[in-house]
Order: sequence, then C-alpha cells, then structure tokens
Amino acid sequence: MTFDSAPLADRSALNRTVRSFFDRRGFLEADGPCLCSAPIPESHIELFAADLLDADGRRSRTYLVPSPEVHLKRLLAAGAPSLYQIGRCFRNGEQTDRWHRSEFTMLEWYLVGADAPSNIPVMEALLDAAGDAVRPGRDADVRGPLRRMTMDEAFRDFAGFSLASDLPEGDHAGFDSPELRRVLAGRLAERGLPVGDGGPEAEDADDLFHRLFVTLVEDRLPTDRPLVLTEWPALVPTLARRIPGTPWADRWELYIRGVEVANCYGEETERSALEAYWAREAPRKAKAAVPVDSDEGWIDEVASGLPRCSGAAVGLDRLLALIRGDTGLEGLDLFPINDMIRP
Amino acid sequence: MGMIKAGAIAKGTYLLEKNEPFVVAEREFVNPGKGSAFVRLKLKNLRTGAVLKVTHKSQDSCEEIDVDEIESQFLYSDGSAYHFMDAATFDQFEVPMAAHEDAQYFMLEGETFKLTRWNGETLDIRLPPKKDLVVAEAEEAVKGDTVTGATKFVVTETGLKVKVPIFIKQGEKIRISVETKEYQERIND
Repeated sequence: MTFDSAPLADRSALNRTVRSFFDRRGFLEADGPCLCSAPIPESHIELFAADLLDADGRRSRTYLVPSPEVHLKRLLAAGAPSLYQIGRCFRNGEQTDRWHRSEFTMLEWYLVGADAPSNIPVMEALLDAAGDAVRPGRDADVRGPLRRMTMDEAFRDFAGFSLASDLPEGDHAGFDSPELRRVLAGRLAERGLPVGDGGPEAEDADDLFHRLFVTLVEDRLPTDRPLVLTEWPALVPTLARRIPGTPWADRWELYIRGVEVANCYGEETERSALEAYWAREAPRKAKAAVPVDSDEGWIDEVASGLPRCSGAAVGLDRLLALIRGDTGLEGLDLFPINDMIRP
Repeated sequence: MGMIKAGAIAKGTYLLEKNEPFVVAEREFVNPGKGSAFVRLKLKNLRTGAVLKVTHKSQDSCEEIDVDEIESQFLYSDGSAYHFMDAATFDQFEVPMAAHEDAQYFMLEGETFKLTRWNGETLDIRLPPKKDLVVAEAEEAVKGDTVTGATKFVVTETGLKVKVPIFIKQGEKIRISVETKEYQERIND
C-alpha cells in the first residue's frame, strides 16, 4: 500500500465544512450509536446483525444502523432543536460496485419547523460550501443553483406519460391496490418491459413504479446541474408525509451527474400514518434474510413528540467523490471490503 | 438453457432476450434508496451487433444460454463473413462479420481462437484482452518535434488506425487493447 494524502485531506476538508456549516446555523451535532436494538422496519434494506454478550455470556440481538434516523428522531421527539450527524451506516446484501458499499458515511440533518421544500436551499448552500472547501473552481454540475423537477414532470418528459393520471386521489388512498398494480403493469407492458417472474399480480405497486422509474426516467435525468427531483408518489412506503389532497409524498432526492446523492422528507408525525407504515413493513422485515423484530414502542415515543420537521440524508462518500470529479467510490475506499474477505 | 437471477448476471454472460442471443457488454447495479435493487444491462445482439438496454429487478429470472466452446483456426475474411476451420473436425464454417466487426483487427490468418457456439450457431469469438500487431504504415516523425506526449496515427497489419506516440516506426510491433482499440506500449521482440 502506498500512502496518498489526498483522500484523507479531501474528506477532512468536507467534514470540517459540514460541521461549521451546521454549527453556524444553530444545529446541534448528535453522536448516535452504531448499534441499535430495534431499527425502523424498511423492507428493501437488509441489516447487519451483531450479537451483544453480557458478562454471563447471554446474547442480545442488536443491529448496525442503516441510518441514524432511529436515534435522531427520538432526540427530536424528546425536545432537541435542529440536529445533524455524520456517521457510519451499514447495509447488507448490497453489491459492491462503482457507487455502492455496504459500509458508508451518511450525513443526516433535521430542520425543525420545516417541510421538504424548505430544506432545498439548505442543500444548495451546503453543496456550494462543500465544493469551495474541497475543489474551488469545480465544475458547474456539482454546485448550485440546483435544477428542480417534479416526479410527474420527469415522467412526462422522459417516459412520455403523466404519472399523476395513474395514481389514486385522496388523502387516505393506500400504498397499494390491485387496480394500481394493473395500471402500472399496463404501462410496462405497453413498452415491452419485464414485470417479474410472477407477473404483475405478484409485484407490489412500489416495485412496478420503480421498474418504470429506473428503466424510463432515472438514467435520462439532466446532468448539467445538480437536480432535485421532488414530489415522489406516496405509493412508495416511506416515513415522508403525504402532501394533503394529492397522490404525492413531501419528499425529494438530489441527483448529481445522474447519481443519487441525497434523500429528504417532510417527516410524517401522524400516529395513524406511522402505524400504517409499520403494519406494511414490519411483517416483511420479520421474513428478511436478516430477520428483525420491529418494536412499535418507537411509534409511541416519536408520535407523541416529533415536531414538524424535515430530515435529509446525504451519502457523503458519493458527494465527495463527485466533487473530486471521480467516476466511482474507489478513490476514497482505502480498505476495499472485497480485498479483506478471503474466499 | 438455464435460468439465472438478474443480480448474478456479469459482464460476458450470454442471455436469451426476446428469442435473440445476447452477450452482456455492461452491467450496473442500481439501488433506489427506498426501493428494490435493479441491474441495468447493456446487451450486444450476437447476430446483428445491435445494442439493447434492459433493466431487471435483481430477483427477476433471465434465460442464460449454455454455450459450448470450440477451438478454431481463422482462415480468412471475405468482407462479409469470417471463415474458420474447426481444429478437431477440420470442418469449415462462416461467421457473419456484422456482429463482430472489430474482430477483423485482432485476428491474423492461421491463428487459433476459442469460439462460443450454441445450437450449431457461432455466437462469439473470444479475443484476447491485448493483441500485438505490426505497424504497416506510419508517417515519419517531424524532425525536431520533441514535445512530450506528441502523437500521430499509424495503421496496423490488420488495417486498424490507431493513435500512437511519435516515436513509433513502420515495421515495429505495438500492443493494442482489444476492448478500447487503443495503443498500450511498444513491443521489443
């Protein structure tokens, strides 16, 4: 191994900038743990299990956090002001490739009193500060001003149809229905696109939506400037609140050079919506490759005190690589996991 | 014919899509933060050379082609097909050039290659990652031109036009990357 100081110096410059950026805006830095006993159930994320031994050798099941959300929301519900954290996160079952690692660094912040659109200027100012610190004079495609586009505009521009016309109206429409599956599967069939081994009936509406999005839209998004893609369909089960009277969730994602870098919600605080999310995701987590017993106590704690707020999560490794002009994470990955694992 | 999960497909995997044989030229893992994992594939049609982009959920099953490999001697090309001879049976057969146009630059008459076959049809010519070729035509270096990194074009014995450093002369052997068709180094025999 030959030592190159640039990856460490660049990362250090970014971390210092992120901290001073949020400190100046009155956020408190949180330092939540990497281990948690009852993660938020997210059926598309596999976890790393870690057994905790007490002095008598008794085991308790814990997990490495897939994001700091579970802890930060408890702090907010207990009365904390706007918070941020830079921390290691872990996602199992990922393929290690250009933009994916099982272990990565996430910046997550919560702006109290805000909805998701109010967090866009924060993201924009952070991108500019980060770029100035790491690569002054960098390319326009990694700095503000951000381009904004709604998911419906993106579908109309790149998939050739309006997603809005396919989605159920009403604040109480569920995540999924046979009718919604039929409509989305029809859009795939019109274009000769695959719908999975069991046919459209076997696939959830959010999987059908993601097939359409990944195939027809995502790799055609404009890359000349960072892009904020807003108003995602509420049929994708998340903890983002629904925008009242619409089929959309108060959510955006940031893409830089076509790479997904950040995800932001106007956070759901209604107990009934949190319970509906839990009811859908918890049974799936119980059957995951790394099964998880979800703890509904988290809902009690969060629903009773989480203020109106907007949380954003940024993949800091991806952001740093993109600012450096890298075409993947290799340049920052000093200890590749595939080199550590002996076959 | 076997089934393969899309998540296990690699560059170089042979697939049957819409009843046509393809080889995977590029694959990229796509994992929306709040959704299932997908793989984006760029496939090359092994009959026509046409490129097809497809996206599959990692859990989708795809049809993998079980191919055979045979050793064959390259005889000549007639402009529309390559002519080969099976090294074991001495049978002669043709492979259409359309799907393998670049192969003409990396095969010399009389050389032996591994061919990928399926149902009696030759799908692919397995070329080495690098090929050493003699420079057939080269411009003379301009006298006094000593700028580092200066380049010029030469033509190899197989007709490939390639950008090389200014010091490469006619008759010299150079190493070419088969994938990128770019010069790599001068070979001193």
